[in-house]
Amino acid sequence: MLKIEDLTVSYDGKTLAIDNINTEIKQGEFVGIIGSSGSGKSTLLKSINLLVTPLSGKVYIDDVDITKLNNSQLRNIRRQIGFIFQDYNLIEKSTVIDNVLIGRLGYKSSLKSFFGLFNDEDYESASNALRQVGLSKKMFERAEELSGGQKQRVAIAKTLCQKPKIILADEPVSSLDIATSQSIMDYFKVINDEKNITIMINLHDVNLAKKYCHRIIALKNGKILYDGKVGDLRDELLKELYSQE
Amino acid sequence: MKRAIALLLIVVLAISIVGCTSKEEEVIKMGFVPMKDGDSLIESVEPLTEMLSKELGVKVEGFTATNYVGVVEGLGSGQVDFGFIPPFAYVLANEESNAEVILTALNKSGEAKYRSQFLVRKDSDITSFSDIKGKKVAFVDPSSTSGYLFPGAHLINEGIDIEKDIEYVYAGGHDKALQLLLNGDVDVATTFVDARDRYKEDFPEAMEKTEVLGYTDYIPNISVTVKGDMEEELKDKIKVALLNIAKTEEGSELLKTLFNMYGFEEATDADYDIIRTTAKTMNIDLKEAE
Amino acid sequence: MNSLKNYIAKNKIHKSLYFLGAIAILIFLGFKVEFDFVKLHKGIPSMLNLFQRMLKPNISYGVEAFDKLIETIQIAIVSSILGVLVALPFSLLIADNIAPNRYISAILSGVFSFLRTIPSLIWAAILVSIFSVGKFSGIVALTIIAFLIALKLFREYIEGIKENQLNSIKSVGANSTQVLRYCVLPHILELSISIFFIVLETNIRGATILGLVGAGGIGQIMWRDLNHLRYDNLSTLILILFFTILIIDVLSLFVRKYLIKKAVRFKSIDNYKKFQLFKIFYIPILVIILFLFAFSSLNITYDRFILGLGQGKDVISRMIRIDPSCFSKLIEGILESFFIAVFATIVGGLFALVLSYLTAYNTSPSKGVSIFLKGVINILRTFPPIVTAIIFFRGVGPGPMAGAMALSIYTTGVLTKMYSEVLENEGKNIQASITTTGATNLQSYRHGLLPHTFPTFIRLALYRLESNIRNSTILGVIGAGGIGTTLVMNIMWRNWEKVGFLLLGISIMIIIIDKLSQMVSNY
Repeated sequence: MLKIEDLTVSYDGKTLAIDNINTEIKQGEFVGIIGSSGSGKSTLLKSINLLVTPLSGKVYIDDVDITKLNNSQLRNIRRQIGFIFQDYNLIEKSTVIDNVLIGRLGYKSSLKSFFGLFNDEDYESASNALRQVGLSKKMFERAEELSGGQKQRVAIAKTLCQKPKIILADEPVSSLDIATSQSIMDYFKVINDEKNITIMINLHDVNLAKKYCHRIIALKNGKILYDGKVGDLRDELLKELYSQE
Repeated sequence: MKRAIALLLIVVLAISIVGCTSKEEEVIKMGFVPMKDGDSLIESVEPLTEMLSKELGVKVEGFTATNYVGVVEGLGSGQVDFGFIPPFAYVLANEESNAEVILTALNKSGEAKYRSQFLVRKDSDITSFSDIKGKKVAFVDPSSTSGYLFPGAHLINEGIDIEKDIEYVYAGGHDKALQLLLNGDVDVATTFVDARDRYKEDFPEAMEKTEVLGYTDYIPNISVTVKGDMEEELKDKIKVALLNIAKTEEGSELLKTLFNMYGFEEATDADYDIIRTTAKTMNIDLKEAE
Repeated sequence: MNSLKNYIAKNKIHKSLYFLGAIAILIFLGFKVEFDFVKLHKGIPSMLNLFQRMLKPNISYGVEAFDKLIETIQIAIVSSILGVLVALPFSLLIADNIAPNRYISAILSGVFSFLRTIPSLIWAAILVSIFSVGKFSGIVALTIIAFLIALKLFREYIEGIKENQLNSIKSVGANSTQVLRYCVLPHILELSISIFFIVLETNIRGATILGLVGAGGIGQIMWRDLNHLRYDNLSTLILILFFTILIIDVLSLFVRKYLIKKAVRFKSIDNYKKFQLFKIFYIPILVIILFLFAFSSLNITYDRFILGLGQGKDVISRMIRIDPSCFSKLIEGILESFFIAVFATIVGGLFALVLSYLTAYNTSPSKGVSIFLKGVINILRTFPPIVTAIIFFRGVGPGPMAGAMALSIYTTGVLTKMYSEVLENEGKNIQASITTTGATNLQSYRHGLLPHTFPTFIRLALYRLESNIRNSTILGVIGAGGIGTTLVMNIMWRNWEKVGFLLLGISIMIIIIDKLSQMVSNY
């Protein structure tokens, strides 16, 4: 469902953040991306929904090259791609339910959404999503009143509300303690198992990656060092992955 | 902490060096507060101070201000030696620190005084002061002699209670009082004679659309005031120097074109009693409550 | 190890170089503003004398002034509401990260930064010349000022929204309107209220200055009392203003702390939906009511307004035909204003650095000192610079020194307040992390808080510099140096061509300084 061809990204025009990456991901895979900081993990995810514009290369989603799309077509594609950030990026002053409803924006006209008008269906799916992450009780509280783990759960609920085919998660548990991290990862696993949604997740904790992911992509200096099943991941490779030169 | 103290010391030292290097030579400080009712804008007092320096043999430094409070306070503390200040400012300076008037300037018609006018629109039904009751009046500014003090007192003497019988506004300038009248915001405006001429470029229709209802008492012109504790000798020297300058051809030309002054006349404190009585009529308490 | 030694040596050299540089600049500026310790020392008795006359406020006068105070507050509230309401949509157009069109944004920000350079006194003087009716011109002048301040604050806030926050909305497939509605607007209500109070305080201070040109309110009687040398009445008015601003401060704290934080609680989704529907009506109605309230107090008829606009057109078309004949006066005056402003900013900054250490409650050696200084600083801020300038004028005579000293004191007050608030907000953790190493309170300030907050301090000081340059034009009115004398006289004489030229000169200078200070703060 997702195919990346010769993808190259550069922020300053000189150094390459992503250096000619090729890969393909199937529906329902749970892919962990590992690598030291600065290896291009985050850039890779952001270029999949074009939050970062690549220098060259193509990104196909269901055989459509999204780098060629105009703005409104791009928005249609984006709503199929959930994105979860390390720092949650909730709208702190809005209520939890409003934050979850944001996931419906891709399906709304400008005018209706401008007045904050959502229909029963939207509310239904928002409250369902909140129930799935166990936050129904917090529905009308302001996002700023939640703890870090709760905020990340709201972000997941928002993404679910999008009804995505794929979820990209950029270090979603890096700011959380071990127990909370586990529970967030469990939510991802459930989503992956039950809804067959593809998940690509950046992790800096290799053990978490080994525990939850089916497949690992290891990045170093913008290039793929390893791309394959979890079980085949060798310790020597990990050493090389995290070595400084 | 030690370093911080050292730091502060150095700063203080550095600044005091600056302070000490400017060795004090004797200078006479002159302040110039142009009358708002003058005919031309006084851009620089330098030509005058240069001539005065020559006449007196002492360096004269001058500065201009649009408001007199600074100069009056400067005269009071001795920081300013003498100044060209409006008549009301003289009365204040005299009250506060015994500053003394030595000269007053003459205007175009050779007089040491001028006056204000009450303007009405030609199409209005006001023909005498008694008609003003119940109408709207524009004064210039509560600190203006010709735009508030004298016209206000005039109305009171005409039997009008300005707090009760009329509605008044402060326009913020002679030009603005005139503008209010022309725009129909007020029925009467008070200005110096003749603001319509001075601002004819801005309000060309003023002369034909308005007429003078009446004039106030005469107001003394701009005063030359010296600080209270000045020695008689210096006082006389300044007086003579200014009178001399006005006598020379070059000097009188300069005074005319740049400062709008057509000579000087000796003045005494009694000439300004009219300001004091007017202030009293207007219930302006010049003394602070003890 | 060698590199460490190098680092230490270099650090020392850098520090002493900066320090020497600062002193050199200060000495140079001292020369330029004719600073003189001897003079200052000699002037102290006569300054104290004047100050003592101010220490006898005339309480009964306060009752008389009350009407005028109400008028001032009304002018300030109306103009703040209008300014904030109008600034909001414009800020959306010019904030770098959400502006819909780069060219419109560039043009608008150019125009607004030009307008920002014009001092409020000058706005009022020009507007009074156009519309002539006092209160209306005052409101329009303050609305413009409020608009420009609010615009800057809104813009800074919006540009401060993290890119990822915007991305998080974009990534669900939202278009730019939706990004605006869901990422920016939720913060706006709270922000608007904060900005409203900031602007209100500025405007109440501003209203006192507007009295100089006849724009109504308490400023008018303040100006009258000053002109009649009634310092007892003057200090009464300053005291009244002090308490007014204090009350507004407390009110703002209260509103922000209690009213906003109290979110509406809902029982069910249906209730919530109804509330959302209700919002569509009540927000526009609220905005309309605010606008109506503001307009109703403008008391100007449509015809009168059109008449004024016509006269304004004449004035502006004359201002555009600039008359450069006063070029040498402009350069001379501008340089003097510039030196006064820089001197005041540096001196005020140094004092503020020391005072805010003593004022901020988390660094101050004792609670008593902190509270006492907070009071003093608020009084310093309430004293209009022009009154302080007169006190110094009496002490040190004419020339830029009086102006420079007056502005230094004002700057000390404002900067101390702002910086001590920064210290209080940023403080605790950093301070704790240093104190745990066994450092004293002062050491923890010197090595923890100070370096951490110093960039903020520099930013505040540079911001002050800009407004000091604008403020210094007012000092010219009493002969305390700078470009103000020439400018005000030309406005009084309606020499609009020259006014246009002088304003252009001032704007260019301020814009250059703005660019320079941006470079400094980025560096």
